[in-house]
Order: sequence, then structure tokens, then C-alpha cells
Amino acid sequence: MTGEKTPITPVFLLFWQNTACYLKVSYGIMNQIICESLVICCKRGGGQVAFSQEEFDIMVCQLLYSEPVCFDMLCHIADKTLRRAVHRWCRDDDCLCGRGYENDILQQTHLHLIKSAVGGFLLRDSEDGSVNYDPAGFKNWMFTVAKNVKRDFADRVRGRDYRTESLETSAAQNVPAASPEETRERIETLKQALSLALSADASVYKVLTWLAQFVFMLDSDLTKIKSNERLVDLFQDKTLYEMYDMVMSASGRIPWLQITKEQNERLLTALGKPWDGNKVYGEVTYQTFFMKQNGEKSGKKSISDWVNRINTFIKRKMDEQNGEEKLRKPAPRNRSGKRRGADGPSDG
Amino acid sequence: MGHLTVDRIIRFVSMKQLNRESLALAGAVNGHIRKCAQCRKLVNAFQLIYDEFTLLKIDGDFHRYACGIASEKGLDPQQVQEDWAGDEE
Repeated sequence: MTGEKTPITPVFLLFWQNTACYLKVSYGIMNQIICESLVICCKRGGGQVAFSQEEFDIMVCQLLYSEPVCFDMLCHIADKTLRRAVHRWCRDDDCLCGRGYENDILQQTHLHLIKSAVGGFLLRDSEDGSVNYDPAGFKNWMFTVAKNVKRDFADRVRGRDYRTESLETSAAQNVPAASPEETRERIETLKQALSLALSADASVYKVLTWLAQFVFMLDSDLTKIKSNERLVDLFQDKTLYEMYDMVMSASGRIPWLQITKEQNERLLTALGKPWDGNKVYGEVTYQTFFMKQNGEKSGKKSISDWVNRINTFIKRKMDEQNGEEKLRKPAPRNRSGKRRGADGPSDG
Repeated sequence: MGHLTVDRIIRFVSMKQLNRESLALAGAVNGHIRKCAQCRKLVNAFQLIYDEFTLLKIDGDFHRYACGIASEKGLDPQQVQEDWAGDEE
């Protein structure tokens, strides 16, 4: 009996494999047709943005059933659905247009979606774990989130532009206003200070502290004392690498402030230097460096001290540079076109 | 099943950027709230408050405020409370 069955099995298997293959192909085609017919499209301004039912299902699986939770499909869907709209919103908004905020807005939207997709949409108001399975609703919800993020961005940028304008147009209504040249000169001074601070031969956490305060004071219009408090609140539990990321991201919002590639590399090299046997500086939490006062760590005092040290360094260097510049600067020419004092006594 | 600590919820809702650490936190919190309605409610409530703080541009005060609420309610932000029996995940 066994001998009779043996030749039959491969034939049966062959038949079965072919059938399975056929079914698989048919299923694939059917599935594709179904998916395509279920593609959720939104036509806004002529642009077609879509994610398929299949993608939505995968996202739900990744968010609700996979271990660990995976956000890949969520971000993919968000990107696919929102990218063009965000670009359009930015293009249509005077204060965002041409300033390259699109990626920042998308990034922030991803963050919001990651925080709220499960609790704020898929399982919203669900007592028994029932899923709010509504792809179209999800698309609308994503648009709402992205719009809110964009609005916040625009508000912030508008607020900053307003502050800059009011500073420039002045304070100048009371005091003789700063001319564009003077404003440019101030910006140059700030740039010079930034460059000096980043080249300072100080520990990386001090340089990073100075940079953070510099950026936050410019970006959020904070006073120095307030910004000390903010730095403690924001960074005490963060590693220096995280602090670096946040400061760099904030610095990107100040159009004229540009940290050069070399300066950036210098910072990263310093962050990569060993702190102790196991960690590099970048992996150490910020509060590790705070001074101890009566057994407690004194954040504000440390920050103030570090910033003052770097400021003293900057001031000294600037004085030196300005002194040298004065020496290098050609003496004003007299009427006959010869320099006074520069090349010997004048004719007079 | 355990529950999330208030501190962890606060850190989650006030996340400001995506990096390795925050993604891990988001994964852990989302992984928990998909199974636990109690924590989900709390996370949603804190998220609402945080969003309001952000709108008013006082999000820097959120941590202190949220910890204040927690301690007013007799909750230690760092620890899982008795009514949330069990250890944190």
C-alpha cells in the first residue's frame, strides 16, 4: 500500500502547489483590486493623497497588536497623506513661505500622532478595547492634528517676527532708532560671540549651556534668569546628546544664526569624548555636572556660573580682536590722500 | 497587569521631540494604554492639559503643575499607587 501511494503524493502535491499558487495569485490580484477600490483618497487642491485600506490595517496591527508597538506605518501614512498639504499650507502662509519649515511641521505632526493615535483615536472612549476602525475619520483627524501644528508654528514665527520688528523699529521710537547698518552690526556682534563661544576651550557642557541660553533667549524672548530656570527644567534629566539635538533644532528657527559644519563637528567630537570608563560626555545627563550645594544639586547657580565664564571669555576675546582690528585698520587719509601716521609723518 | 506611574505619563505627554529614548517611552506607554483603560484615560486627560499649556505658551510649567495635581490627589509621581495595584510594566 505504501508503495502504491508513493508515486501519487508528488502528483497530488504538484497539483496542490499549482492550485495554491493559482489561488495565491488570484487572491493577490483580488486583494489588490479590493485595496485599490478601497483606497482612501482625498482630493484637496487637485492633489491626490492616499493610503490604502491595507496600509491602514497594517498600522492598526502595529499600533494595537504588535510587540513592541511599532510606529513605522503610522509615520509612513502620515507622510504620504500630509506632506503635500503641509507644503501647500506653508506656501500659502506669508510668514512660513520659503523658510523651510515643512519638515519641522511634519516632524512635530509625527510626534503628536505617535502620542495620540492609540489613546486619542483608535481607542478613544473605548471602555472594552473596541477599536475605532474608521480610516476616513483617521485621515481627517491627521489633517486636524497637522493643521494645529502648522498653526502653532505660524503663531510662533509670527510672534518672533513681531518681536524682532518691534525691536528693530525700536525701541527706536524712544531712542534714536537703530539703522539697518546698526542692526546688521548687532547681528554681526552676536554672530561673533557665537563663533567665539563655540571655539572656547571649555568643557562641552558649559559650551552647550551657553549655546542653549543664547538660542532660547533669542528664540523665546526670555530673560536670563527665566532662561536659567527653563534650562534646568528642560535639560536636567536629559543627556547632553539630547540637549544638543534640542538646541540645534531651536537654533534652526533663527534664520541668521548659522552654526558652521566645523563648529558642529567640534561640538560632536567633544560630546563623543569619554566621560568615564563606560560613557561618553554625550550620554551623561546634564544634571550630573551641576555643582553641589548643601548636599543638593544647584542647577540655576551652575548654569549662571558657566554662562558667565564663557561670557567673560567672549568679552576678553572680542576686546582683543577689536584692539587688533583698530591696529590693523588703516589710518584715515588726509586731503593729499596720504595716510596719517601709517607711513611716517604726514607732509604737514 | 501593572500601571504607568504619573511621572511616566507626564514625560510621555510632554515629549517634545523624537529620539531613541522618547520613542522607547512612546512604545512602552502606548503598549500599556492599549490594554489598560484606566491609564488611557489618565494619559488622555494629561495630554489635554498639556496641549492647553502649550497653547498658552506655558508648557515649561506643566511638569511642576502636573506633579502638583498628583500630590494633591495623594499620588506619588514616582510610584505606582495602591489603587493601581501591581508593579509598573
